[in-house]
Amino acid sequence: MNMLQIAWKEIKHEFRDIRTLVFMLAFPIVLMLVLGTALTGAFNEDISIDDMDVLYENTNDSLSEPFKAFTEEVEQSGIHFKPLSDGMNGKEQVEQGKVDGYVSVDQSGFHLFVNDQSSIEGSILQGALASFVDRYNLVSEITKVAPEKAEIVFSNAVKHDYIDDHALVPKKQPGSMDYYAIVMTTMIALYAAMSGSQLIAHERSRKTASRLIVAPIHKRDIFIGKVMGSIVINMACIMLVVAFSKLVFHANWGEHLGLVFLVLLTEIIFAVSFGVGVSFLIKTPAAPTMVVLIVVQLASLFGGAYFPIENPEGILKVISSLSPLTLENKAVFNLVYANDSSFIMPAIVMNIGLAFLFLLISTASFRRGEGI
Amino acid sequence: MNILEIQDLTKKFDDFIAVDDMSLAIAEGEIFGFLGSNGAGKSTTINMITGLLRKNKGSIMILGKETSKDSEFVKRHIGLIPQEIAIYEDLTAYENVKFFAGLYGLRGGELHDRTVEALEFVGLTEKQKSYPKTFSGGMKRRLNIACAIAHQPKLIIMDEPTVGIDPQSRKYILQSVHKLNEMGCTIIYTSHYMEEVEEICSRIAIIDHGKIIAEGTKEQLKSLITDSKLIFIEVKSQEAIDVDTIYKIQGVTDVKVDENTVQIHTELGVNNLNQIIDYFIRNQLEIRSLDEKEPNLETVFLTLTGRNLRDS
Amino acid sequence: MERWAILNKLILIFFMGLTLIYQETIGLSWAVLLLLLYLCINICLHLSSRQVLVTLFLLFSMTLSIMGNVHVSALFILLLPLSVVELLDKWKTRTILSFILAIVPVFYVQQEIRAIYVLIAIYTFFTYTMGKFFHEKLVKKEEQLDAMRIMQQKLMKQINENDAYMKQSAYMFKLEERNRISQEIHDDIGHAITGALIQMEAAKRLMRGDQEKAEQLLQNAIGITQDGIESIRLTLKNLKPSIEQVGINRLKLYIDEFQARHDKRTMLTYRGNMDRITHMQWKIIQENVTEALTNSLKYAEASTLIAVDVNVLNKLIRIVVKDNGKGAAKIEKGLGIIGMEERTATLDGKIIIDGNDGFSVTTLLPIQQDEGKS
Repeated sequence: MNMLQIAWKEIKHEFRDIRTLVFMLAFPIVLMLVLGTALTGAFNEDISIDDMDVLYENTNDSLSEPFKAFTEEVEQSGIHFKPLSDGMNGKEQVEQGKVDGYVSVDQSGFHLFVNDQSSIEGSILQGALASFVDRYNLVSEITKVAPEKAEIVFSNAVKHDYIDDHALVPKKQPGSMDYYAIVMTTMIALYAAMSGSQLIAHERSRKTASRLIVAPIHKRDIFIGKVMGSIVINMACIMLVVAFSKLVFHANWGEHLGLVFLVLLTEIIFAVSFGVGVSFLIKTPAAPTMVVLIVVQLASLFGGAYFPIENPEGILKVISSLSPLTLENKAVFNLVYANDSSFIMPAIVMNIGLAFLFLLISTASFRRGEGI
Repeated sequence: MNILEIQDLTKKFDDFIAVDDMSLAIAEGEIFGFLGSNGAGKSTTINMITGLLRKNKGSIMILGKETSKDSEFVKRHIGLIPQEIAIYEDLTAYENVKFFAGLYGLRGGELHDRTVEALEFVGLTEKQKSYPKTFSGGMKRRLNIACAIAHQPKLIIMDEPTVGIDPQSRKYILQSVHKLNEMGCTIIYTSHYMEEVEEICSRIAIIDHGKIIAEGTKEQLKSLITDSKLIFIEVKSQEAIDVDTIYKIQGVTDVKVDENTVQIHTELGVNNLNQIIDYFIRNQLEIRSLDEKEPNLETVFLTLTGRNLRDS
Repeated sequence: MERWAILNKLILIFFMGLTLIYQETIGLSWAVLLLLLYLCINICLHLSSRQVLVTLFLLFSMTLSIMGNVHVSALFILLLPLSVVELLDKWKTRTILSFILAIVPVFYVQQEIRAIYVLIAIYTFFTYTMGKFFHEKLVKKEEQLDAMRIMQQKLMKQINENDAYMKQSAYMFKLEERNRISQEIHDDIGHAITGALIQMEAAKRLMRGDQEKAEQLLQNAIGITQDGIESIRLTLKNLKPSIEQVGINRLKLYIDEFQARHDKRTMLTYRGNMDRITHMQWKIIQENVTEALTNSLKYAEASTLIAVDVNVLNKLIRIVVKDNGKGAAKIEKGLGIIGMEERTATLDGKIIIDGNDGFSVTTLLPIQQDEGKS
């Protein structure tokens, strides 16, 4: 009961502190806005693509009709399909870079050869073909059931812009605003360590620590209440930031918002415990905040909060893997963009484990010390 | 019954001995003053009584219970008014008092009533919705008091409650000390303002270097040094003065006549000024001036420790 | 001792962490989780002191290392030997047994880390055992030292008490001597004078009758009286204590001596009625002043002047010894100061030691109520 009272006071307290609000709300939102718009170029997939030449060889008669329609359709988008002339090796042509791709259609299906699969051209081709195949499969299914409808489907399909489908592919990569919405949020969640480091120090500097100790309540209640309050208020801020970025910046937060919040919650728990732990390890009033600030800054830098760190090598790999943000971001990105929740568990476990460690240190030091 | 009993209390900070084998008993209903210079060990003693510091040796009993054993019971009956203002700037006056009173187990309607009472007691009812940011130093001090009394403690400990405030607030605080005492609270009052302690305390301990070097009512303390006060009466002419008659006045121990000034030594605590003046009037001796020199706690402190209270 | 075990563990974890990162093990997150778990368990282990809990934690930690070895990374087995050694040590088995048990798992360990395992097992076993050995030695030595300190304190106290007793007895002797002398006056001189008186009385009666006899008697009486006077003179000369031996004069003499010996200006001032100070109080004043002066000499090199002040107030005697040196911010209570405190406490007095402005020792002694008017 006393615990809740203290937690509630902490929340009120933080909420009325204009600095907290500015720091925890305005700061990430402004950063998102600035970084997200300023660094658009680094992420922009809206690259003008030259016309593409694609060779094809069709040995599957049943497909020749729809495939022809398809090639005509994509002609408008600048993809020129040419039949493979005799004596030409389609694969060689691709290797030599004379054409952008080579498609061979046989009984077993489509075979696409491109130079670099990850290149934009490659993905566009892939996307276009994939959507064609999807649609063809659909048609063939319909043909089996109701042959008369097949025509309708194809006539509708003609209106489709196949290239439009390729947009699905770049969508799998976040845009700059999407990227910064996530990394800023995980970063600001880590900044909860700042309020954690001030949690006890603040009572000391306000001299109210003595009042709390003099009152007939357990030291444990003071500690847990304060940590709880801090977690709640920080979580509230983070939720507001997420909501704002989603509604105003239209950042992509994926379908599993619950899991994202779970990761963020454990991260806040870790951050607050870290701050509290540091404030107990270093007893001077100003130093803990400095230490926390430096650690969080470094973690942000190497965790990819300011610019993405892709495939780091050597020492950078070690350093960036030391940053807790690397794992948090990986977990969230994989969840949002790949529906892959396999990194959620490790991230949560790491957060809770480290939080436990720091809380253990703090409680040990808290119980032993005099006063607060 | 003694509300507080201290036996052989000792506190060391590394090799510095802040409180040195101190023993003390305070009865219920007293206003007990701790008098000493800064660093004499007053605050350390108080911090050990309230449980802010652990003692190295000795025992502290409050209401017959050892503080380190029954700390919850003991803490419930203590109200600490700390030396520095200890309130939350971003909670209103009402919220501050309510929060601290809530820590003492008060709930619901009772909590509200006590909070309002406490604010009324310190005269901040009108300001209860305001934030302490907007308060003057004296008002903050008063709020500081309200936060410590809402749970109606039996023992109130005031650690230098009048440091750095205007005379009006100081008067207000001293009055509230009296009022709290009349309401049945025992009060421990520490200060290095001699006049305050002399004015309000029923018993005083002079503390220096962690030891109680003297203890008693202010009369007892003064009598340690001397048992007489001096009355100087300047008259127009000394011719008609009959020293023997003055000697007969109760309490007078010595009379000297020096030119036109009569110097009368008289026992402390005997109120005979009226009789003395009466003698001069009856004998039609014209009094030009009258001066009384009585020892005060300042002199006691100075004499015992060799230092002024405010030196260090 | 625990510190060494913790350090050992940290080194191991650090080593494993580095190896894991460089090996780029697949289940890195699991490895991190296990390492953290290991850390938590071992912190709990060192926090708790109950045998059962510790054993449980150790067993848990051992299971963890084996599970880690099987499921995550072979390296985890490296954590095992230390836990084994610790556990067996907790149950006070023979060291050789714990060594064997720590080394045995090597036969079940994967080939590629066998060598490392053996190295780690030997290393942990030796650091732990040696650490324990020296720690126990240290504890023993510390106990001995403590015992010696207590002994020393006891002896010191005894010496002090004996000293006090000796001084007390000397004083008692003086009193006894004085008693004896007054007895002597009463017995010898008194009798002699009475004898002379009787002879003179007889001579007065015989004056008329037997002049010669009377003359003889008178001569006798004169002789006895002369002897008596001589005896009185002698006794008085022996009896009267020299003026230097009492009260303020003795203090004066001592301070003069001190000044001469140590070449430091020392001043004595006194106020109030010195007669109100009892002998016992003088004794303590004398001793405290001596002690305080010695202290001043020792600690206040920069001082040029020591002032001693004795002031008899209404119900208190205040004695201050103060120098004008640098003083001391921190005052350590040595045997000298404790001695002064104890002495002074026997007469309900107080000692104040202040180092703020020069070094000063103030002794406050209450004046006994029966001497003043109550």
